[in-house]
Amino acid sequence: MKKFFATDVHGSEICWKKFINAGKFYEVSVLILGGDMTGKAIVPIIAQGNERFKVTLLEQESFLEGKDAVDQMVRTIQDRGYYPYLTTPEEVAEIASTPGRSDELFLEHVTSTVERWMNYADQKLDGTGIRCYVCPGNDDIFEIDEVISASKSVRSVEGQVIELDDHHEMVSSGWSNPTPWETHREEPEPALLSRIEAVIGKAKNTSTAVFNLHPPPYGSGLDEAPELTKDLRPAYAGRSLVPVGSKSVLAVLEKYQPLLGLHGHIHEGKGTRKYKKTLCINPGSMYEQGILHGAVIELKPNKVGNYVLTTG
Amino acid sequence: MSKDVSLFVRKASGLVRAWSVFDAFIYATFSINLITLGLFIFSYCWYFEGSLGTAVIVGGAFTIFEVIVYASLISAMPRAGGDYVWQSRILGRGVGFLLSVTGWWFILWLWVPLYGQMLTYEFLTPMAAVLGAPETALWFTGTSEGLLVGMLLVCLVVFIYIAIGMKWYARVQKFCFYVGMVGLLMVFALLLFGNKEAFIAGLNANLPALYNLPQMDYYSATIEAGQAAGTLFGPLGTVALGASMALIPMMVFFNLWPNWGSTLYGEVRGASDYKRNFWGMAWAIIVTALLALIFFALINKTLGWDFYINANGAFWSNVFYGTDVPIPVWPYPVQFATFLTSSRLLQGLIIFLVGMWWFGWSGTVFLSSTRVIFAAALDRMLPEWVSKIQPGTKTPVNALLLMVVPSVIISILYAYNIVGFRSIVLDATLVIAITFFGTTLAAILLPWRQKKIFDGSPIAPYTMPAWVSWIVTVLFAVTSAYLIYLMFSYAGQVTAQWADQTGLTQLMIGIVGLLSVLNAGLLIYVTVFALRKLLAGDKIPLMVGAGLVFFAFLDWLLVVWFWDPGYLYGIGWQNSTSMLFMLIMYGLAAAIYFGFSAYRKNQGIDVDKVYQEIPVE
Repeated sequence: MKKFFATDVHGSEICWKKFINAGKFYEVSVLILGGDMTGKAIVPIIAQGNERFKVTLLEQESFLEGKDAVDQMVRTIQDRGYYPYLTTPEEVAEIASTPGRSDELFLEHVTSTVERWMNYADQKLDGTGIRCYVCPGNDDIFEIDEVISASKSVRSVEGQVIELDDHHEMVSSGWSNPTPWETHREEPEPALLSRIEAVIGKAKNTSTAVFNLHPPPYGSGLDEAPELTKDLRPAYAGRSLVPVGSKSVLAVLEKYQPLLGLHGHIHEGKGTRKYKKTLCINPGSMYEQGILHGAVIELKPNKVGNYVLTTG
Repeated sequence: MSKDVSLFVRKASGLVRAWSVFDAFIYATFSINLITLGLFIFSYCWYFEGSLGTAVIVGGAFTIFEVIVYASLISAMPRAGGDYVWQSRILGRGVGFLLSVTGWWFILWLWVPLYGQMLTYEFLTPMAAVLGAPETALWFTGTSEGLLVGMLLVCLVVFIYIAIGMKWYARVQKFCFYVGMVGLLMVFALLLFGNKEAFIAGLNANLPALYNLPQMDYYSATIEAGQAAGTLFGPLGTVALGASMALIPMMVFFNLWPNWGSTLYGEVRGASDYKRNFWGMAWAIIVTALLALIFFALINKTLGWDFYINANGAFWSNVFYGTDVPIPVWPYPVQFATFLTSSRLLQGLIIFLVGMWWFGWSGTVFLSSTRVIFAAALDRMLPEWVSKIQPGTKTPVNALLLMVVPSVIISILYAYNIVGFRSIVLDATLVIAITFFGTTLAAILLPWRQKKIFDGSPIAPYTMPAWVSWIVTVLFAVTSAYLIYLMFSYAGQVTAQWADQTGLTQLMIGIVGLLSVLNAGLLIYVTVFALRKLLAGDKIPLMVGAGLVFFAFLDWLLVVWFWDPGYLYGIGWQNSTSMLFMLIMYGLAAAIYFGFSAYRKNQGIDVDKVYQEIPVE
């Protein structure tokens, strides 16, 4: 059985579309998205009057004339993983000055985007026989779970064990160890370990299982991120790399020795690492450039067959 | 207030604040290391009539265009893996693999003996002398075994850096920068406040004391030995632009590398990160060029420019041709400066402090190459075991072995000068320049071949005015025509001597001729490509304009290195060792590429799809 794994698309419209179309392209029967589906920023496109709009994307201010230019900018913003929002100067001021207002706006954009993505997946995957699993990650708000559950072709597998085929189960969790940003699905290592153990407990045979756990194992090299100063600046111009993965994930991988570990979370941590018979993969992420990093993996009954990391 | 709000962000991982340009500057400054690479290659420039000062400035100016190209690529496609992925994505996987494994992996095997030679000349020899071990000091510089020990020490030091990881290496490097800079300022102070008479007296007193040499007038004898060796040089204060251009293919040995490690880019941010990347590298070039000019001026004032160049000429002429040399150690300006003080403690301290320029820099030799080995393994173009991490030391032992074993073999060839291996120093630059050549071509094509990526990047708004685009493109076209003329003119001169050459040399001439034909085709292609975009009314991005200038610059370097009618650089068709060394490297890369592609296909892995964009319906 061949499957395609990608992760951390962070709201990038083009990456989601590539992910859904990867089934046909790589000739796989299962698609798995590791987590962190949602975007991190809203970019206001601010009306200036007379069909003129101002937008600042990637710190570059530009003015748009007419609908076509706005539509083009909307697509560009969506492909980078941000949420475009047509608005007025007054509303921008109101959002900026009202506590909680931007959270409401995010909720609206995140859920409507995930809903659109589910519709796209339903349309593209219908009748193909390709199964699609997603597992929201630490950056994803809880409200998207319900939206995903309404999809016909995409299944959310957070906290579940599912059968990939007759030989392999997949244990999934998108929760992570604590980050400096206090994100939605993170918790201290002891609690995380309990959570993951509880899911693993549902599996019948862990030795041939796939552990789809969002954070990479601690110290694996798949978890190396730039060291940050106290005020969240990359230290030493980002050249000092430190392990930030999960010790709980490392512990369960060493304890159960599944066939395969699928991870994400650390976008710079693209790579593979072997722990005894367990192959761990972090395909990394370049969602802002609309490039979908992924891994095509062949599973044989008692081992991982061929695999390759892709830049699609 | 609303005027200032252009973005709303939520709590999400990875959102960091801006990083320090100064920290990036430190890394780039160490990569174009004035003390190690700079002083080493300056010492080779003993048979040119141009001005070193002019060459440093002009070479540095061209390198600014390189900085624009690389800062732009980092902004457009960050976290991609550098040259390998940029080239694979834009020019094709085969080109990306061939140019990257040669430029970022194989050629680093040759850099190990060069790093070792610099360690020996700048640290081991003078430190041993100051510590009262003249025989050991001379053994390091004067014997093949001594040099080889220096080269093996490089492997050991770099192994330690890789074992302690990037977290600690970054700290070591920053420490070395500050300490090394203090050492350099002490050297400048000694040269500034000293005078030529004091230096001559110090030279004549210290050389016998430190190296157990006979008493004599080393200053005059060195100048005479240099002159006898045929040393040539231009006065430091003159511009001599034409003659100095011949020095630039030497200068790039040290100033072509500001881009060595700049791959940082923050999520959600944009233009400011581009500028940070640019200035981190650009300041390194500017400051290094200024430091070089100050160093030259102080050498000229206190040591005497004629003494410095003649000392270099006498030393290298002795190494390559066995001529007489009064000073049997490499003419290290830092040690010369220490002769202005009689305190052994201060002399040792300065050599130690300036030595930190080597220790802070040396980790770069394997760090990039191990990453390329890992990247190739991830692409399934190498066996899985090469990326294995040894649990105890947490080091990529196998990847390191793929560096160390060939490096030791090359080091032996170099240390014992087997088949003239010491003559191929500039190959270390040429092969990486070819890699940069490929990346620059990728940058020129990127806005059209990866339009969506470019249009959505923070560098998309940086375009050139139409009139500037026309000037740059026309100048590129004219330069291309000149380069084509130059190649065929050189080819004419060389083929006139065809009958006098051996069969092997004739083969090398044939290969350089074939490369020239390919190069002419490439120049015509890029010219037509740029002109067509201009005629179609496209705005030409700044990255493309800078790319055209840097592409032409690199092309010129390759033409003069390969044809080398005056035999100035010694790595072209006349040097079969150099040509064969490069052919073997590219041949090995091609064998791995085609071999593993076929092997993986046989296994059912479609490696052609690794870099193909997934079509979206």
